[in-house]
Amino acid sequence: MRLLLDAIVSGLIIGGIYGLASVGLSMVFGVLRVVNFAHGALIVLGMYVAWATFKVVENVMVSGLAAILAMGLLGALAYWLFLRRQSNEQLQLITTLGIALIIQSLLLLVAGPENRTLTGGISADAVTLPGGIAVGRARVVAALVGGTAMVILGLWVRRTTSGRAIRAVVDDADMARMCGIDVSRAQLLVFAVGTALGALAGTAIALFDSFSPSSGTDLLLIAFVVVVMGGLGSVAGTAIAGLVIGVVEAVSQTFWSLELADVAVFVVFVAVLLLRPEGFFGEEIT
Amino acid sequence: MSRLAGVGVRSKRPVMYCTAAAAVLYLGSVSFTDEYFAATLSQVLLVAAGAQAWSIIGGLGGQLSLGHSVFFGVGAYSGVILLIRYEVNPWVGMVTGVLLACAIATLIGLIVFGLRGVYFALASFAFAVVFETVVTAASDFTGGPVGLSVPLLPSPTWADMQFTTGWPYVLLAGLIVVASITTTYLIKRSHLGLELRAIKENELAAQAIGVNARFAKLVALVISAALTAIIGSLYSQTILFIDPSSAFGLVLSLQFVIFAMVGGAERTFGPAIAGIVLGLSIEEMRVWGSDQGIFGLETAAYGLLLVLIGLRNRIDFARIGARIGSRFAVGSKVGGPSS
Repeated sequence: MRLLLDAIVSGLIIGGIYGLASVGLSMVFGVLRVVNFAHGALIVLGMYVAWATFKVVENVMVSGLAAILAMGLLGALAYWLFLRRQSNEQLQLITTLGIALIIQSLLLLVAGPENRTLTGGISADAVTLPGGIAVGRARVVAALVGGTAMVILGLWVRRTTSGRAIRAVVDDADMARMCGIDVSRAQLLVFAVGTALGALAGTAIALFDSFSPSSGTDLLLIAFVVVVMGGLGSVAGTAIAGLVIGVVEAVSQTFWSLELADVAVFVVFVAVLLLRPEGFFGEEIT
Repeated sequence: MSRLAGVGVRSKRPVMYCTAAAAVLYLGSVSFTDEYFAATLSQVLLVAAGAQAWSIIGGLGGQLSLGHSVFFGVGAYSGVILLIRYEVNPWVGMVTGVLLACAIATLIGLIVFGLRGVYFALASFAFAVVFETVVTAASDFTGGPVGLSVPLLPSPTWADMQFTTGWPYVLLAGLIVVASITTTYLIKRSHLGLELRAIKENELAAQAIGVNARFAKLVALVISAALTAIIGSLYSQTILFIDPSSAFGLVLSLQFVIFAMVGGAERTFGPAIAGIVLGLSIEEMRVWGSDQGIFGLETAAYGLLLVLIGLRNRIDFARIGARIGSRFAVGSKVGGPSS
């Protein structure tokens, strides 16, 4: 019982950051109708930017900011160069796969295959939560970062003009265009913000976990499950599904097997596809 | 005749002349007693056959599979595990692998073919990642991340699917290339081929006129998976070794996609020819790169090719080929419309 409670709490904590890592993928799908297979690789690239910055300035805040800025710009650039003019969704998907492979091989070339981490950025001692559950300080910080960023993102999408424009494009891009919304600008914005948030999530994960150029595939798999479960395009759905997947992963790591926790996540994915493919917060698929 | 149709008419033959010329030049420069070349060629042929097999569901059916390595890996591991752990003949192992791959394909099809859109791409990708994870974790049985080696026999025969030279492997790989092309050709001419074309054009409309889209996609996927499993099984016997990343890795799945799409995913020969030409060129590049101490060049090249394919409405490979080809083939007679 004690073990289960521990697992659930650590799952919720890691789930907070999974939501942030996945929300970019969900939003990009919402406005572009494209599954961005480069999302995982872009997160990993963000981790490397943070890592490289950390080596110079030895400050986690600055590293995170550098990763957000660099990846936001890169995301915008990638959209502008490769995705803006292409209207075929299957071909756009293939382009994002290409971007992922290029990033992965460049990272391998420049930074090498070794595992890297930002641990030491935050003191390693544990924090005791109410109820006597001990969690690493870095994980708590990561969860707080994830939660805060998701709330700000939600407010932005709900309350601001640019956020409303994005929601309009998610609903119906053609209709939004007819109402005078610059669809291409909304897509650019979402791609940049989604990539920047992914980089922030990546930096937070790197505080307590190691990464290498090939980490993108695992992150991408988790992000797919989270966004399909949450309903493609839904911010709130992504946040909640992130928590669920975090708990599923942590519980199966505790009670089943460290290596096979991904399989439990995958089983959830298949169950969602079979039972409710539109996700729990998405629109009905026609 | 519109300008676009004109391009279509010209595109086919010059590309073939070009390919043939390049092949002759390349073959002129290699030595056929070279065992290293035999090994390279058989591997390239196998991946090219995989691209052709992929095109049955990916090209004819228009369903983007990003996890075809699942079938390849299942074929490869079945043969090797049965041989090492239970001393089962590799040909029997191959058949077992094919049956397993068909079962997995059916499972994937049942889960996602009721849905349209991106779900097949996502599910196939997820299956490949999960198989790699499971095979890596079950190290007692599969050898884990280290992989499994096929023991060398002192005096192998055809029954052992093992040879003292590399050339019988080239022959086997060539046979599976031919078999994949023939299968594509037969499916294109069949009722199933027509159904797949209708589904690719407009799935709802196809269903409205009575096509059982779910079933047609499933049959195409199973055929494609069976061929891919044979290829995987041959691959593991050719290099006498298999490990999780070379069996289930994303790059392998993407090689199939890239070769098929560069060669023309709906064409009868295109994927295999593009697979052979590109496969050999990129292998040469990889070897050159590792001589210079640069690793991962081939992954970057595949990424670049994918981006180029994605931009294809501006950069059309067939058109580029036609432009280059028309310099060599001025005045060649034009055939009928190409597609």
